[in-house]
Amino acid sequence: MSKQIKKILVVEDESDMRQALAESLEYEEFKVFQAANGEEGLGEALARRPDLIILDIVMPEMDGMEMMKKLRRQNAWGHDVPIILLTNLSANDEIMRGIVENGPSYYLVKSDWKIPDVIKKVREILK
Amino acid sequence: MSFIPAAGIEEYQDIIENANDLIQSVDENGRFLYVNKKWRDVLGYTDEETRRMAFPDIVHQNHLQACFALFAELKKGKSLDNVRTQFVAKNGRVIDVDGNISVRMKDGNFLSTWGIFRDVTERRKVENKLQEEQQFSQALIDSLPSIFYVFDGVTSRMLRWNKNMEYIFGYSNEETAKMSPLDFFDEKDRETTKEAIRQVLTKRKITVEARIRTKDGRTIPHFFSAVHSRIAGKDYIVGLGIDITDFRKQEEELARANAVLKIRDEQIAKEHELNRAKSEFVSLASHQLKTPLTIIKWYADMLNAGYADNVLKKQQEYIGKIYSNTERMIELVDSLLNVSRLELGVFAVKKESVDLKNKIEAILFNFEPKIKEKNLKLLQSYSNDNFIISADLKMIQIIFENMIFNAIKYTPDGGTINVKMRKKENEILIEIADTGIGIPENQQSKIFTKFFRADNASSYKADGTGLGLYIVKTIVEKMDGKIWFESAENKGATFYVAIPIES
Repeated sequence: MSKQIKKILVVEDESDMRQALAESLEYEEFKVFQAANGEEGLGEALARRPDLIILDIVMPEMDGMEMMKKLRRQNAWGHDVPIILLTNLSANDEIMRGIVENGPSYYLVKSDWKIPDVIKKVREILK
Repeated sequence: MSFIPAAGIEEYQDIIENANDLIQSVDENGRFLYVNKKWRDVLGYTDEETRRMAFPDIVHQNHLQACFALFAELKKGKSLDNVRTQFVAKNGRVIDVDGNISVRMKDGNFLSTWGIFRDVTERRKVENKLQEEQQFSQALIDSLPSIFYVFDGVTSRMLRWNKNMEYIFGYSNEETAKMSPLDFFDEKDRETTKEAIRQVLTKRKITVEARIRTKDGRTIPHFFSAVHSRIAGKDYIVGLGIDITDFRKQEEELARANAVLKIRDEQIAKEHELNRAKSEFVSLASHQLKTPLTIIKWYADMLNAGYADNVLKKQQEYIGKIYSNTERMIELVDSLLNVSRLELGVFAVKKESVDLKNKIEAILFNFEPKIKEKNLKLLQSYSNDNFIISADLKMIQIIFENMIFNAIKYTPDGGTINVKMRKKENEILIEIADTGIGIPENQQSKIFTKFFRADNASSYKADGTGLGLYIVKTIVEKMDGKIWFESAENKGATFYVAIPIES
């Protein structure tokens, strides 16, 4: 069984966080693309068509919820691509509504999650 | 005496006999001495018959009593004008007559009367009909629930009005007849009414709202409509006034209800805004506090998981991240402690005499390596004033360190920072201008909010507590000073601080 390399897009404005996620995923043999805000993220997503997007919610310019909404409306691929939303808060109404309304989505509270658990979650979704 | 042409007696007899009026002569007993042809034609008696008749035979019995009284007067030698009475013809027909009766006397003795009457039966009928019509229309206007009036367009004399007018205003008909239309209005609305009357004469038709004033001083809002009518060459103003008190009350009630609703809407909007601000605060605070902690945690996770086991450089890099974010966390905790002290009011204030110019120069000196590193141009201008104020040195330090640090941090390499200071009455005005990234217009109102960072600021420099300007503003206001700014995105920002000399 040959294992295809999965592509993951990390959209996060805090460069140290983005780097931590990217390098951890690369270490685990994923192909990683990066973007620093929602606008860049949307462009990257449409150009690279990753298998999964890890998306921070609080970002300057275009935030994560806005980017997800736009992506879900863009096309069939955008509507169905799994998205993990990153937040610093426990899920609020806006996040829950976004998850319910907008395709396959998950959220995780950054400070509650260890990097190995994030990796595990990513593998689980991509299975 | 009028001129009477000379004529023979026969001629006069002929005139009398053939006159178009009923002419009769009566003796002292009321018997007819003579009646002319017209008289006989109208009443239907022959000459023969009249010789045996007296005036009571032809006077309608309703008028007999009055006629006997008149006859008594006549016998005293008094002629009568405008005698109005009714005769009855032989066939029973009633004839209305108007006339004069003159008396002929000789040596103080009564001889006869001469009466000349005109048959006014037809005219009387028309008059009665007219009177009926008038009563009918009066009943009509009296039945109106509003004020009805007619006045002369030229003299403004009140001509007609309805019972309701009497009832509403409380003036008697005699009083009303002597008043002018304006007298019925409240003083405050007289000018409006005067103008309306002036207009109705040219425009033919107008409406106006005005308060009337009753005889006992009450004012009642009314809606008036009036038309200008020209009847037989005369100008009349005819109109109606309707009481709009209830209508006004409803309007007022509606306005009151709307005002209450508006207040409730505003309260709801305020609550929403407060809730929104609260959740925004929680979101901002957790973002600022948790970001460095998460970064520390994640790089420790990566080291633990062995991701950097084979690369020493990576290990050093990750430990460096942990270190710098721990520093960031310490800075944040320090700021938070300052915020708590300020908010709890336990910030120890020790006033001393501070030379603001020296202090700012010292702070700028400390920042010199950073300014050089970014190749920034630093301009300074101070007026020829004494800048010694009484204030807490620690507070002054926090204010200007933060402001100068911001100017340096958010100005790209090669930019300019301009510090100015001057005295203005009993305060010192400090101006710190930069050519940096500026503050987007849609976020300017939030710039002093706790934990808030403008979008372009967090894109430009990820680290930052969002507390600096909040702390600065809180301290400036504690010192009874003021802080404000002017800025446009990508065009830099100028912050102004005014500090009272004796704070």
